[in-house]
Amino acid sequence: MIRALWTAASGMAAQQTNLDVVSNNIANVNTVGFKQSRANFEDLIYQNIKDPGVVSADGNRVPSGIQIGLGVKVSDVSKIFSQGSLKHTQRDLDIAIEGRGFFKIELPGGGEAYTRAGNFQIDNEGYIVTTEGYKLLPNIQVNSPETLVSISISPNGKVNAVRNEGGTQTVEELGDIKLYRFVNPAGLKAIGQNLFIATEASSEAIEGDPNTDGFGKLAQGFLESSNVNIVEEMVNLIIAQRAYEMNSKGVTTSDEMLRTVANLKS
Amino acid sequence: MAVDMQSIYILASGGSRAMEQLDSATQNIANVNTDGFKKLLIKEMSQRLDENGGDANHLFVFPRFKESLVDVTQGALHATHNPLDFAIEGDGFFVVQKGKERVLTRNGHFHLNQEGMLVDSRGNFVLDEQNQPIEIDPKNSINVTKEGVIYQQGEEVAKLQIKNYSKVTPLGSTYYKSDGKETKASFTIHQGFLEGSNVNPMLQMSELIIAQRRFEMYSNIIKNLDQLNQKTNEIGKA
Repeated sequence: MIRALWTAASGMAAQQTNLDVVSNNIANVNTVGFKQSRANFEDLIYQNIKDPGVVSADGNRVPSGIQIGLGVKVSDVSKIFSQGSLKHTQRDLDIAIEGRGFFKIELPGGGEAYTRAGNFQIDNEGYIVTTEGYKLLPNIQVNSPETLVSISISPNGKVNAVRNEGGTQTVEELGDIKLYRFVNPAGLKAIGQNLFIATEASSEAIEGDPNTDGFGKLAQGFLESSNVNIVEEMVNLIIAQRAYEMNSKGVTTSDEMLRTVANLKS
Repeated sequence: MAVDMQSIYILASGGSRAMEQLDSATQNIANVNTDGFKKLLIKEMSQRLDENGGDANHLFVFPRFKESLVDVTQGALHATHNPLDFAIEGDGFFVVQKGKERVLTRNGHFHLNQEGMLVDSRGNFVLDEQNQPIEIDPKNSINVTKEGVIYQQGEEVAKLQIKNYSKVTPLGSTYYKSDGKETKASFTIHQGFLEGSNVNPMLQMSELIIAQRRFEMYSNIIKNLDQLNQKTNEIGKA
């Protein structure tokens, strides 16, 4: 009896997590570089109930035993790193990655993080930074902004400053943007602000140049939209809610049957 | 005494069966969204009381549980667009190395671990036809044919091992253990898909209702028998 109550409760808890994940996806439908998550479930262990040596009505001795499951739990919430669609912004420092790489970001307290969100800016010292002000690694600094006309970034990561110095146009090389990839990107840990950090499960970051061997190329003037498919998420929302309701019926049925037991003795 | 107490025990035993029916229905409902989950059915039977002499010998039969069976019918496939998600359409299971034993699963939600080996969501190796773990080059995309052969850049890397058994028992974590003869696996592998749970919510909700109502029936008859006994006791009263 108590078993069914806990089983149904585990189902409600799992669907609640599912709902959390789906709502987070929907909330980030317009977040640049956001990757959707999916909750996956697995059944819990089974309890073996044995009743050996029972004779059935037709006289056979049967080895009797059943297995009763104890519910469900969330096995993992995995990110799906499929490509989001690119949208044209015409901003110099909007860079989208077409492919599987990540940008590396220096965290303010030390440490490194990775991101797909390429909406960069220039800080007061001329460094290329994220919208939170975290520096892009390797650092790229843009000096003397007074002569700067534009910044051009090639698909293979070369960053050039186009300057107007006394009427003549010059091009200055500022550095290279590197990309990083992982054996198992699903093992990355999301820390918010569109950032991920490497974990043991994801493997160490592998550095490479954009537009080489699976790292993906850069597209200047574009941003990668969120890869959340809103229709799919709405369907997931419905599924999660209905499954939640059905599990709650399991709880009420268990409760009513317990009441029946209690009322056996008048 | 007018009413044999045995009938109350028989009804109580029926009540226990109703509870197990509830247990299995809630378990199935809890796993309505679990990929690769196969619903569990519980079979009941009647048990004759051998040691009970007299006329009651063939009258009183106790409801007992008999066995639980995994219903391996196909679950619905849903697209995930993840190249490392696989669904089996037809008969058969993926084979996974879990510690020292090999277990079966229909949950094809696989990953690469940090060494580039194909693992399931619990980090256990997915095995190929030679019972070896499968190594994938993470730099290149992977293609899987309908027969389960993994190709990278046009070259065969490995073939997923798919086994089928006449009977399986659940282990939890959507793992199953073979418990019967090996049978022919006829299947199609779909890359970028997962197989959903094969639980039919409609049926399981009906099971909930049936479990509850039969339980109430037993309970009412127990109460009536109890009242009958009480009346019998009152006959002797002056």
